[in-house]
Amino acid sequence: MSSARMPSQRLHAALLAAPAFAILAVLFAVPMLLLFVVSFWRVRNFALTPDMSLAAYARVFDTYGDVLVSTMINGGLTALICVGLGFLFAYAARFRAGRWGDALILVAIVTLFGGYLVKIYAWKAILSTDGFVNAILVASGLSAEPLDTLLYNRGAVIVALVHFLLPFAILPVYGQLRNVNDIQIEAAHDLGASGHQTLMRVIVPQCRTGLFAAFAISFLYAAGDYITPRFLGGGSGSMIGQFIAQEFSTRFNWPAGGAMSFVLMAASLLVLGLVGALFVRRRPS
Amino acid sequence: MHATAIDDPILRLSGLGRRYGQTDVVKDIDLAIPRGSFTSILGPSGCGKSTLLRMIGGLTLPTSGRIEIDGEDVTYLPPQKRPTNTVFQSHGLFAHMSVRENVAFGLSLARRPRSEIDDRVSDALKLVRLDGFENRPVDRLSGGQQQRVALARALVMRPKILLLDEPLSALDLKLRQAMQEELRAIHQDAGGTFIFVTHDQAEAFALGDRLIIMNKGRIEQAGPPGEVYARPRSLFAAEFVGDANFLTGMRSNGRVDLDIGVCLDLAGPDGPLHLLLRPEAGRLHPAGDGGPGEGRLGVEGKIKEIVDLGPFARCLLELDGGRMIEIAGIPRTMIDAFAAGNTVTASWPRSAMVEVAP
Repeated sequence: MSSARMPSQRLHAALLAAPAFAILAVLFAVPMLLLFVVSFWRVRNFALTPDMSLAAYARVFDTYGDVLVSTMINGGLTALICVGLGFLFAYAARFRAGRWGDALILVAIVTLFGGYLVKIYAWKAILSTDGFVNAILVASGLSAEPLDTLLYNRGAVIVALVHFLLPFAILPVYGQLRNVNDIQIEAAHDLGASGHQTLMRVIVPQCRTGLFAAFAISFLYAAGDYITPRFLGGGSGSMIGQFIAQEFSTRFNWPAGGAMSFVLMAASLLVLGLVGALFVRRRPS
Repeated sequence: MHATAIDDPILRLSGLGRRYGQTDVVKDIDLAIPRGSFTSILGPSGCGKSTLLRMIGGLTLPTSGRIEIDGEDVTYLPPQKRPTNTVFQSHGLFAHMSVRENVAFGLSLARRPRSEIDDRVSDALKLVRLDGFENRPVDRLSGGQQQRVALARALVMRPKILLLDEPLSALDLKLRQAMQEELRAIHQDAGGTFIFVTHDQAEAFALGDRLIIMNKGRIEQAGPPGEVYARPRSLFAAEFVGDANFLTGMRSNGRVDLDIGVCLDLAGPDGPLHLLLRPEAGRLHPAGDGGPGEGRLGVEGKIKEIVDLGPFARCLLELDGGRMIEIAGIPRTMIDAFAAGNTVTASWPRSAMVEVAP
């Protein structure tokens, strides 16, 4: 590559990236910056007053510490389940389904058509006292009467989130599994590896970044969700997103909402950082 | 036949076959491979040679027959339980590992002590001349280097039989020839039995001390390369290992009438027959050199085409009646004596003609 062409190539790259960059900057970075500033302000008589106060942040930990931890747990469990199930599905599509592999992935994507609210309502119906699960429990004699403990808890939230997020977890893993060629797997067996050793030492290491991407997408979405917990969460399933939404919509307490948002973001990045350190190994140099 | 002639072979195949649906990809193979030999399996693509190799390595299961390695029945053992290792055409290196990790993979699975692994890996890398590359990621190596890592990864396991499935076919000609040299040297140094599959006859001759010709799932011929070349047992074998003129004729009472307009004595049953004449066995006579001498067969023809190949020239000669004969290996110094359109005499020793079963 000649150095004379470099500037025009850079310009080219900049032009290609510009539209997406503009959207991200205008719709994400700028509002975030504003919110960050506002999170240090105060509310007096329902009006925002500029300030340099950490009161809103202090309140997050006093009042919402438990919910924050619970949110991280819900998000983490959801993401782990998505990564596990997503890997199994992607593995089956890549290594066991033959030429039907791509079709299986398409089916997974098609389930996204259902939409997100529809899935929440569906689970509400499935898990309700006169729902599908209870009907089976009662009919099979496993339970004398319908259980009202299926809904409005952590489990219901995680089930619905996994249902919605699974396709997003499958895709990045599948993308990377396609790079693992069959010869590598034959070579591993040839060199003495059992099926399990081949999986752990040849296949999984080569889709680490895909697994991490699957975890990150599922986790960030789940930890930030405020609709699912509101409909299905009840007490134990409540998450901080609900309370952030409340601060903005009904309480008009932007500093509180902002501070909670940034604490949530920091906590999420911390979790991702820790998980990332486990998932992503550095390449040999 | 040849299978029984070898004492204490490292590998013995009996009645080995592999069927896919209604197709016999490999059919009824009987074969014995001598300990320490370097065998080339040569055949056109689709002849079943790779399937045969994969069955020996355990990567494909046979549908009939038996495989014994060193006297032990391994027919249905998985690859990880066999004393064989394979070098694949598209190397199959582990992309997430360094050169050292790739080569150490099998030994670390076998839980060898650390110091032994280190020693054997560094020996194997020296053998393939990649010492100093230990910590490179494999995807930053050239094609030839990658194939050498794959070779080291298999050799380090000290397999009783090393299986090589067209490992050089993705490389360019120069590199391929250099790697052939190296493979021969490695076989000398490391010992063991090598079985090398290829569709390239020059490669098969350059490498093997034994040659097996395969066609349509069967073995056409097996033996030392020189013998297969000089005395092919079938038209297919004759044609596949080199250029060939086939002279057809009719024999009655030991007298053969050939389609090039000559008669000769050749004992055998009455009926049609094929004689093989390698193009390089013949020579052209410039005007006034005295013609063919004692024990040679001469024919006259018109030079249809003469192609200068550099060190030698090749000539297509049209005999009376339109029959074409190819003569090769015409020395540089004589090229100028011939031109297209000239009428010349070609000759070859009578013993150069070999009868081949159709």
